[in-house]
Amino acid sequence: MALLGALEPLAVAPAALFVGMLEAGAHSMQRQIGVPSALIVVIEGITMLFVLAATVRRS
Amino acid sequence: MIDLLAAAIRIATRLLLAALGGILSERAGVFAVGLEGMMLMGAFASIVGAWAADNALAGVLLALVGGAAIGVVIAIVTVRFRADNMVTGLTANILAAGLTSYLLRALAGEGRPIAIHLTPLPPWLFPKLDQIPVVGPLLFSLPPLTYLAIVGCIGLEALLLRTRAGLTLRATGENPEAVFASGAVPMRVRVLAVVACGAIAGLGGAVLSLQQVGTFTDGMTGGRGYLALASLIVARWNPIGAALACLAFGAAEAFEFRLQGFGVPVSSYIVQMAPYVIALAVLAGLGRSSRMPASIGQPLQWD
Repeated sequence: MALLGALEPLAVAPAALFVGMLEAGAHSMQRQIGVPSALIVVIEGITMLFVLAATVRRS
Repeated sequence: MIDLLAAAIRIATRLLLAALGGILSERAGVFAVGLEGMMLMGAFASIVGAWAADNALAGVLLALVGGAAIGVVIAIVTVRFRADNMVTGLTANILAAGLTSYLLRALAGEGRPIAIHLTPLPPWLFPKLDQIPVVGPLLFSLPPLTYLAIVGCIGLEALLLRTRAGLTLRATGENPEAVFASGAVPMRVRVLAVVACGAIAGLGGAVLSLQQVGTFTDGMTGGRGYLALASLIVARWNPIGAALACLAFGAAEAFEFRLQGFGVPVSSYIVQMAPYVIALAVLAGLGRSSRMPASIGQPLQWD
């Protein structure tokens, strides 16, 4: 997460908040409707990959 | 002693396969930080494939596909969209960890991981040859994927150093503009190399799950992808050298089991650290003297 945010220090806070929300919801999701909380890790990974791909690098 | 060496060879197999894939990727100019995820995906896919089809070969083939899938993701993000190699690799590892745990639970359908237990692949014995003292147990009574790793190691060395395709691949890691000028497409070479890296590293994962343990647990690769990465750097991106480095790490791990067996009063956690401490020490000792491919990690111009 820090690596992703490190590309833009100001973006760390909202990014961390987003991830925090996901993880907080993960357990109640698993408790209430039985969806494995590992799905959240998948979503985090996919989100980060898309953000990486969308960030155009100036070389 | 022979026993220890044979165990070292068996343990080195998974590292070696992952390291061979990594060499392919890094020689083409893409850092192979995603090895861990590729191995994990391969380990998972091979167990599920072998279990669903009741056939070890199906598991091995699915391991190739699973590892290559992570390779495709990394190739698209790093080569096509020119993202940072390191961060992409780490992210792909997170994705693979999540995806394998999720699918393991989704297969059972009730939030608990499905339990698959298979018998590990038995060794293939060469008749007569396996009776030769010393050489027999070391070279002619190994599990099938270990033979594949040995053949693959020699094959990769020949491919890289003796063929035109290998030359193009190495040139893509050193100087992509020259490759472009010679008529090949660097982007295509890199994508193919990373996907092939995924497939081979997936095989490494299959060694771990299908050949050695017979089951899959969450995050079972436990950093071995990074150890493979270290061993290919120690070997300076050279397949034969990587085999030796992996053997050294394998010996360290095999020794650890023996040490525990003898009841030596050393904490098993200390001994578990050993391979990683060796890797760190060797890397630190090597320092900047190891020259990496010149344009590794640098994005390609649009072509």
